[in-house]
Amino acid sequence: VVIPPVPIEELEKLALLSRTPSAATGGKYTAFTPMLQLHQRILYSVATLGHLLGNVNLLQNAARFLLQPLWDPSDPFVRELLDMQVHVQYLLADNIIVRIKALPFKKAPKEGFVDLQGAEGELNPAAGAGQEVDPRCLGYDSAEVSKRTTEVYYVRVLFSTVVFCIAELSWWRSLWL
Amino acid sequence: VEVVVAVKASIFWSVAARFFWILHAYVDRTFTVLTCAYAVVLLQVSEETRSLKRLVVQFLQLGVAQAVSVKDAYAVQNGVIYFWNLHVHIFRHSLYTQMLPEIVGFLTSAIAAVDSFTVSAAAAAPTAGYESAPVDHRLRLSLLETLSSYYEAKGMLAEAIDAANKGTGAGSAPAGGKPAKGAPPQDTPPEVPEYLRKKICEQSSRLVLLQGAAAAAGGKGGAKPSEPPTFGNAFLNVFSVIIQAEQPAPLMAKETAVALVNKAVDILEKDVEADLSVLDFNTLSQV
Repeated sequence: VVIPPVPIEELEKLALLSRTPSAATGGKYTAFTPMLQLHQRILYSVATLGHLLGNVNLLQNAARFLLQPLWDPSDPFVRELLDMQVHVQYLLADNIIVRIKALPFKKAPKEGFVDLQGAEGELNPAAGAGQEVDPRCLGYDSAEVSKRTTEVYYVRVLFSTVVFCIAELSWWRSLWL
Repeated sequence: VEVVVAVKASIFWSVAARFFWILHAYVDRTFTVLTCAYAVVLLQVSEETRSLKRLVVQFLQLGVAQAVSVKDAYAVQNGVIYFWNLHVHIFRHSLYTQMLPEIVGFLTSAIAAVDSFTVSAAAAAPTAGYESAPVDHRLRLSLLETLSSYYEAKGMLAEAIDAANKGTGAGSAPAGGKPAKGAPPQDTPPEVPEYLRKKICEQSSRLVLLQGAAAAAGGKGGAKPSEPPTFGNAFLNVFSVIIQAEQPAPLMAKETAVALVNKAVDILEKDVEADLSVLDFNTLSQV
């Protein structure tokens, strides 16, 4: 069985979920039932296992259902279920890195990206200033880099289009000759 | 003969040119299509990366908010530690100007979340079933220091000083002893050891100097050099003075630096010695 990846739009919707009851739910929290509790516990086990295995799709699909119920924070009876939701959100954040790592990115320059973290996660404070930063770094907005790269491609597209037009024109001129 | 050769050559070149242009157009058209496709893919990839990076912060923020709603101090600090470990390269390498705006939002809300457990004991009373947990002040001070550094990088010195002062344990006050006008309230509980507050106090002092220099550069007729702020502790006051004296020449004149060093020696000889004389070294600990 192949578990499909959760689209980013779905994850964004999940991140925008309100934790307070809305008018759509009649202003009420999710009612506790033993079956729902069992469902949540199983999903939590699946999510933690998915995180342990580095399986992004497994965790994200489990989290999608795990975060849907709206538990009442003032009810001590559902505290474990709330804990699960809190923890799974941290796992989701931690797990997204695997997804970012899998994305194609701009080739590293000759001297390499600035060495922000060593192979064992050790920080390297002596990393050279002014060197290019890996665009995959969390929290780093590489908008300028991608914008510049895109501009270069636009210029290339424009240039090749002009060459193409000249070629067409020359072909018609050669026919006429 | 020459005319025939010329005609043949012209026909040959005409046909050759035609083939060449057809070939060129074909290759170029393919190249154009490929380039367009690649540019589109590149745009999508960079946007996807950015969205995923944003999601990392958003999920952490949601988790922290939910942990605050049940007053679970452990879960809140757990989320903040996740955030810190995942983004530590940004703070260590001062990449504040290229930081995602979501990070600033997280920092502000995380400080408020941690403060909800430190400032008011009643508010921090845990929900039934939860244990009350001690708050790690190092975590809070690191967040404040980062927020202050971000504002400094953006040139918002007033906000930077305000953020730093929330961690110093005392509102910025001139050497006279009274808190400065508009100084923030004492947000940091007094139990935070001086050892932990040293760095943020130094940052606050340095920012005050920077603000004074900026005011002198922009103001009419220049501004008076600002006094190093005091923090209600002799050790911290010494560090506050020394950090200003250590600033490079355009910011700190040599004569002023010498005067500041003498002032630091004065505080060491009087206040620090007095503090040391009452300390019980048998009960001292690092924290």
